[in-house]
Amino acid sequence: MYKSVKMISELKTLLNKLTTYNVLMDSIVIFLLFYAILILIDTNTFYAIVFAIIPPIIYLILVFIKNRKINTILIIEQEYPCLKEKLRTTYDNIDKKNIILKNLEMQVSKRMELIKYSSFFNRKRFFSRILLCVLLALIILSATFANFKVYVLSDNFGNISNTNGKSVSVGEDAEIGAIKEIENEIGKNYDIYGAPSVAKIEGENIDLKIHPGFGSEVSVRETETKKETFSESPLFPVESEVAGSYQENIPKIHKEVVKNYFKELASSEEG
Amino acid sequence: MEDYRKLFKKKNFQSEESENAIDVENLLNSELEHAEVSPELSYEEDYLKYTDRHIEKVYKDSGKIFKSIFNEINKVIVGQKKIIEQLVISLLCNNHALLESYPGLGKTLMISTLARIMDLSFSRIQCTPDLMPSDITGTYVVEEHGGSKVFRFERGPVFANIVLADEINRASPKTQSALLESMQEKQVTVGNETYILDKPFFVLATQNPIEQEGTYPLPEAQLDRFLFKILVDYPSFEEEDEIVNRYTSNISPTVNRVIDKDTLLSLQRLTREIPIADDIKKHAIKIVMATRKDQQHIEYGASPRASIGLILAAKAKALISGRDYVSIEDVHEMAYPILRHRIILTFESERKGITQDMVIKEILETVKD
Repeated sequence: MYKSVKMISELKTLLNKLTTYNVLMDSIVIFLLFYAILILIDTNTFYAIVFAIIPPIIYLILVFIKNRKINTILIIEQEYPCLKEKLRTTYDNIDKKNIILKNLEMQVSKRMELIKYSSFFNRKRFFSRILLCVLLALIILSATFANFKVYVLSDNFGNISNTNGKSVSVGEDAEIGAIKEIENEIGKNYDIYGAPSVAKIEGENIDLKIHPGFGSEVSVRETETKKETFSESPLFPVESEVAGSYQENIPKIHKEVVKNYFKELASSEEG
Repeated sequence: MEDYRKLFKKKNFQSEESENAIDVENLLNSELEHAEVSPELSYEEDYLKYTDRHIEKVYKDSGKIFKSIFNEINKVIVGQKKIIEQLVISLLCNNHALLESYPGLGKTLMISTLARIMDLSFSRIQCTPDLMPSDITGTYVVEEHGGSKVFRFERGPVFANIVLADEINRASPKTQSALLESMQEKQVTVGNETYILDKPFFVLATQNPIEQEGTYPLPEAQLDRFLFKILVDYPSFEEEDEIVNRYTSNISPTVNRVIDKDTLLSLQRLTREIPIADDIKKHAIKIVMATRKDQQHIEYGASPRASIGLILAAKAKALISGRDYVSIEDVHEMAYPILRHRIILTFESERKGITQDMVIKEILETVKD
């Protein structure tokens, strides 16, 4: 075997290792970057890991497809222009023997001895990746321990699901869903804050449930939290229900006095 | 040892006519002194062994050989370095070349000079419409021997190492065919006899792009047999000044023989041994194939013969340049003389004034590795 061919094989192995190493480093950086983003927008840790692992996998697949076309000899020739076209000619004609090829092989071997394996190692790239990894790890740790969130996703979306236990929908389906929700809500004795829809006036508990079609606003904040039992209002058709009216317990004597007072008052005005 | 000497002397390994010639006799002696010839080996094996050593020697001296060739030609021809190089390349490729230029640019002088500096036999055919095939190939003549008449074959000018067919497009198609047949087959058939032409055999033909009246343009199939179509351009002002000075004095330039036939054959063998990388070879083939795909400018593209010629010419160019490998630049440089006579442009392109060289340039820019 020609000396240069042996050296090319060694370089091929080395370059493959370096490429694998670089690709792995890039994958780690991509993973950390996506994980940091997801953590900063307050995603659940499990989902953050799952979503962050997808981009590096896609990257690995793309690099694998791309690397199949990479010619190691061309990489060496690019790094060492003095070997341009000579190296590939020697490598492609290993099976042939003649004086010209022998001479060419000697020239290539001599020049290949000057090749420094370290020249294929991109220090700048290596240190930039390491720095990125450290930086991203710090961001993730800070965000986790200080509970720092750039955008609290769960406050806006998580609570909706907690309150209703249903996903948010739009369009015609949303309207239908809303009507159904209202229908389901009817008959429950608590408001949207979970407080009972009861007003206590003069020691009596009054059901403040707003039936569809009533349309008036009632503050239900001032009600007591005491739970009372009521007979439920029927749904449809809407039936009017007399609410409790105000009656004062005035003694009969006082009633007459007041009655007379108003009568006198009326007659004096007529006169 | 004496047997080898006889064998090699028979192969004309001597060059006595020139001081600059490669000293083959000395080479022979030194090779024989160092020869480790086994008594069991046959003469053929010994000869092959010797040939290998001779090739090694020629390879080591190739730089000097080419330098001396170009120096000798430059004594007669001013400038035209690329043209001379292409002519030498066609010789190294053991193939033929067609030179096209306006009259008076030194085509004939260039070819005759090339023949003189190499220890090769040279003949010139001035093509005219009344030239007959037998005027080229030769014919049987009647001779009297002791009262009886016998037919003897009188060899024509085609029986030479270098044949200059001047103004080939003036010869009739029948005569052109006779010449082109000998170019392809490297043999001549007259009557029932076939005569093998001497090696090396080159036809260097010339034609003028003007004065097309009374000419018979070479058909595409016959043009394809020429490795190169070399366009000879006008010299620059400085070159023309030098030409005038050189040819208006009393001393006319002379040339010496610098290489012999065997050295040329060794160089031809070396040319074929120049290694080429696979991707460069594929690139050359892609260039030739691209001529078949260009529907916009080209009506008919180049044949596979062009691919063979392109790679071989690139190898020869590498050898002349003193390189042990073919570069992509060699392929690109050789693409012009190889392809320009092998592609037929569309009527629309010709109407627009697009030349073959323009199309080749576009193809070279388009074809990627």
